[in-house]
Amino acid sequence: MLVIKGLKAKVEDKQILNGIDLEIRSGEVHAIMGPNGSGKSTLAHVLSGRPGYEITGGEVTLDGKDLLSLSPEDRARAGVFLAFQYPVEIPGVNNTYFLKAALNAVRKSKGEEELDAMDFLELVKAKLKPLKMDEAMLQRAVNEGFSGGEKKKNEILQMAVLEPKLGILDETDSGLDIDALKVVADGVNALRSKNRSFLVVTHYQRLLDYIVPDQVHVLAKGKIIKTGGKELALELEEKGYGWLTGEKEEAKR
Amino acid sequence: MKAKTQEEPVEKVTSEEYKYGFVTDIEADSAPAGLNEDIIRFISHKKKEPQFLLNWRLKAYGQWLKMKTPEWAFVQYPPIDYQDIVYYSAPKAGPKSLAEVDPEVLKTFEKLGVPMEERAMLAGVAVDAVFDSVSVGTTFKKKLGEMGVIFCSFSEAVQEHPELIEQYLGSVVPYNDNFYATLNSAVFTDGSFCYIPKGVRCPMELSTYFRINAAKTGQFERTLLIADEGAYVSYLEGCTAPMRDENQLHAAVVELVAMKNAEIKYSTVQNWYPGDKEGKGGIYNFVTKRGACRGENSKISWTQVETGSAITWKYPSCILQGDNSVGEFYSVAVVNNMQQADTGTKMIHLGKNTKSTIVSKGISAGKGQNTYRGLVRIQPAAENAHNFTQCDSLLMGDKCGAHTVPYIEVKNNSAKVGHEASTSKIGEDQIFYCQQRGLSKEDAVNLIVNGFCKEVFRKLPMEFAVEAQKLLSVSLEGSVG
Amino acid sequence: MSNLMTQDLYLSAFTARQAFLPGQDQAWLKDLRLKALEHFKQAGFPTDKLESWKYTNLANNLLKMSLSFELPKVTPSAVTAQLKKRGFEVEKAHVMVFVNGAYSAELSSLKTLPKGVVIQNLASALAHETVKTYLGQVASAQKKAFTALNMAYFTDGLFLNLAAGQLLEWPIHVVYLSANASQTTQSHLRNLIVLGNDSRAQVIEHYWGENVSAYLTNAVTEVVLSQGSVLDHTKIGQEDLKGFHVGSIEAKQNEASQFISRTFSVGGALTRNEIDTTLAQKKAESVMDGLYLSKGQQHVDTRTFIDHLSPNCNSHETFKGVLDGESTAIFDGFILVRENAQKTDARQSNKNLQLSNTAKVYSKPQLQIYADDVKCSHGSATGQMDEEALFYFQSRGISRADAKKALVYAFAGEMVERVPSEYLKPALTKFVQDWMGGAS
Repeated sequence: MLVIKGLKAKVEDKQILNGIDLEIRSGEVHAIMGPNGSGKSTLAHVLSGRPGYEITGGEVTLDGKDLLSLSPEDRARAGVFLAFQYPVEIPGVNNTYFLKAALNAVRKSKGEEELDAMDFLELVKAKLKPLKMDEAMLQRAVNEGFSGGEKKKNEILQMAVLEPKLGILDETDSGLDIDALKVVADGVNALRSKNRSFLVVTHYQRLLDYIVPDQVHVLAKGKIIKTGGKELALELEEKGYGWLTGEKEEAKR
Repeated sequence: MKAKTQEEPVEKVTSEEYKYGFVTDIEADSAPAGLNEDIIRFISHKKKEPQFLLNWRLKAYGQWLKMKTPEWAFVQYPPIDYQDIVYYSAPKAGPKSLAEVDPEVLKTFEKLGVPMEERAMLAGVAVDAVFDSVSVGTTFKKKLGEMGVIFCSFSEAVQEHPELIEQYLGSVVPYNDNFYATLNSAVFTDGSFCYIPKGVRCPMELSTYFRINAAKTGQFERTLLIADEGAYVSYLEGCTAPMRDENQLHAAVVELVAMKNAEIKYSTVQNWYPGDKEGKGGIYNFVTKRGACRGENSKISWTQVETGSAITWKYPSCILQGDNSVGEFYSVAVVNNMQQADTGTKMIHLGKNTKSTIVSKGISAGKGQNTYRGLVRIQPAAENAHNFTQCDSLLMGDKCGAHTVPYIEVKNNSAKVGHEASTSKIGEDQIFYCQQRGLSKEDAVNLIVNGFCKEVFRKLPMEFAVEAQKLLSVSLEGSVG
Repeated sequence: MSNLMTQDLYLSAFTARQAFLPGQDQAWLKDLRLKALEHFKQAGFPTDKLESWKYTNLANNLLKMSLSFELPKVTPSAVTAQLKKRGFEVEKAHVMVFVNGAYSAELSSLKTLPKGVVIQNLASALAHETVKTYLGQVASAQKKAFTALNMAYFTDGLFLNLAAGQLLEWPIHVVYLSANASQTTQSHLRNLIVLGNDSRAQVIEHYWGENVSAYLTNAVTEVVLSQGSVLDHTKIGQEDLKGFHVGSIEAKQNEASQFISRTFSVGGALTRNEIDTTLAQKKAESVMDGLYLSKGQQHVDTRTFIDHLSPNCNSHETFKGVLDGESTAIFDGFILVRENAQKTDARQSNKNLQLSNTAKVYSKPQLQIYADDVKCSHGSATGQMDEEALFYFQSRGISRADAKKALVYAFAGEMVERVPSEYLKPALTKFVQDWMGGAS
């Protein structure tokens, strides 16, 4: 479904990605792990089309369609969803309104009918429950004044509503306590299906206890240096990244 | 380079072709261009005014001759030739009811999207429409009349209620207040008058649509609104103007008086022709608006959405005389292309426990220059006065400007005065976040701008809020919940 | 009175005064002085009609006084003792003393200076090439009437010049003492600070008066900061209550330079402090802190101007005031972000605490922004002491008076706490405490 070939990217004058090759098939969950500065988040950003990155080589296709030439919104409409590490606050914009606008933009692009207010509200309320989110959150401004946990849950709620083909979780576990982490992971697991894939970017193995990946890739200096099964994450947890990167242990704290 | 991609939607938001550009063809019964005592006598005579009003006009004129154009605002424009302006023009026959209104005029209103009867009936709004300085139609007058509410054109009020005019005219904005207000005092032609008697809560929102028309006609409206003890009124003022090439001067004066326990809500959506992209044409909007909270517990609330005019120079203010009185100012001001806005408020605290709130949202795009200028003054007798001011500016594009010039004067230590201001570029991360959820860049910008202005829009009456958001090309928010 | 110090008198006095001013052998300076006088003639004294002088009217006070340019020559002996009393460990500073506008070598103590460091009184350095290059370039006589007057009439001041890479270890503590006894006088002081690339210095300008009649101190400080240089500058105003102080500090900052300016003001019948900096090249940084404490009839007027001319510059400004009696304080802070100054981060805050019901505060924090990719904010807050907090103290058995002192110190002390200098901190703590009347 997602195919990345020789992807290279830089920010300003700094080369971050040095040729990434990765294939995720439908229904698979892949984890990207790696030390700070390895390029994990950059990969997530580049896939979703965040401005500020320059692609210097390689290609990315989603179901055979070139992704890199698309605007961020067209990627979203094509089914790429990025759960942000730092969800953005948009003061004054109602959370429900935002989500409805997004869903209808996606539906419209697929030639589907836009949902009216009532139908949408029903839909979103149904998606709220498993995430243990308070309905009052729908009436607040997008992410404004949300706690860390609330923000991450809100990301998963959006994903549940937008039903993407590919969910990219960018350090979704950061800043979460164990209870919130479980809720978020349950939310993601509920969305797992044979038609939907996930790319889980994380520094720690902890999240992978709950969202069990099919494959784990270790990224260092902008390249995948090792690929393995879920056991690889455990090994990393134990040994740190040093044994792979040949550098001093820095992962375990 | 990043800025470039951002400009596109912004441009669309703020610089859509001016929709209301058409000129109505109506013969005007005009005075010759120019200003002198004779013209003032002519206006006063035409309007069959009592002697006191003529005297007042002449006094103002005498004063105006001694005054200079104010130069402290951050606005630039070529000198105005006051002898090249026509100070009086009126449709020949003064219609007495809506049925008598020139169909051409009614068509104009329709083009503006203001079908009067319909709108009036559907929304429960009484419309006192000012067309080229002379009132052409007043609806719902009867119903209001039964409650003792007087809502009519200013000239009508001069004929019917001269005692109220004599008592209140110039009591908030004196004839010698400032250059433009003084000019207005000398030459104003018409406007609206409203009196809400004691204890009456005006059952509908009162609305006036202003429109500048005949060529070279400076508009000098005068609005006087009095809420007697315990009265309440919400007043809407909306403006559109036909597209034209020459700059038009508009120097209106609005005076509000709130007596004990009275409340006045005054909302404005101003969308006059801003001129073209090069800054050619457009209205000069030099307005003096001031309200006096005369009685205890009175409240005056100004809400404005300023998107039009080449130059906006306007400071709706509150004089908080009565103990416990409250003043509010909520403003959204948008400038684009060559537009210039210097706007804000003055909150003068005189009475005890007086409170004021100022929320100003400025949006600058293109080469527009947007200035918030405000004064908060706590006089020595104003025990326990409170003020809070929030001024935010949003910048779009690298050729515009956003300026904040607050004056804070505190002469009583029991006062609590706070001012916060911030200026920033529209958030790139916000735009990307919206895009990542499937929204187009344009929609993302609309959404963010709308959110930025929400605090102010929320203060507008519903139909105005809709219009205001439309003006910002932002779809209505919150239709769900 | 026939001898009011009108503009005419200031102009005509020059002919007689000229011969006594330093730099007789410097034609360029004579020329500068004459030109400055001409600018002053054009501008005249500022009136409250000027936006920047809106709340300070000199017509009823300063301009009614007859102030002689001729200053008595006195040598007070106790300057070092005074400094120690005020909490300064003077052994750890280069001390320079000016009395009534004239340098006093015997009261000064300049430690041995390394090569590349020039600390000198300006009057003796007028032949110096650097002085010739920079004097009047940053603080131009064209912009401000008092600066013009200063250029025409200045007698002396500090000249500091560091060569590239020089890091001055000890602070330079410059005392400007007014002691005019029974005469009413005016003195015009001029300081010039030029720091070479990556050099560093700490300068303290310290103004006070003792044994005085009415006087005016008109001080101008020019600062030129080359690439990567750092100036930590503190101005302490402890003028006598008979004194009028008009001071202007103007800095020009080149790439990645840092200008830290602190103003602590407690004295004077009328004090006007102007601090201007131009962030002329990228990545320059400016920190402006200030504290003004006033009581009685004092009038303290602060005007700052930060000119963001280049990209990626920061400015952080914090001014606090405590006002008692019938005193008046003005804060007029102006931040200008020009078209080219993208990625500017400018923050400004002004907070005032009014202790009495008759004190007046005028706050005017202004932003003028012409670049779009910026982060600018300002805040202003004025209020009285928190009654809740006072009550909390009292409920724990602390007297209301002590509680007030504690709260004033908590408010004002923040500005002292932010000072990293070991040399300044004890003195500034004392500065605040003394004002409050010896609270502990």
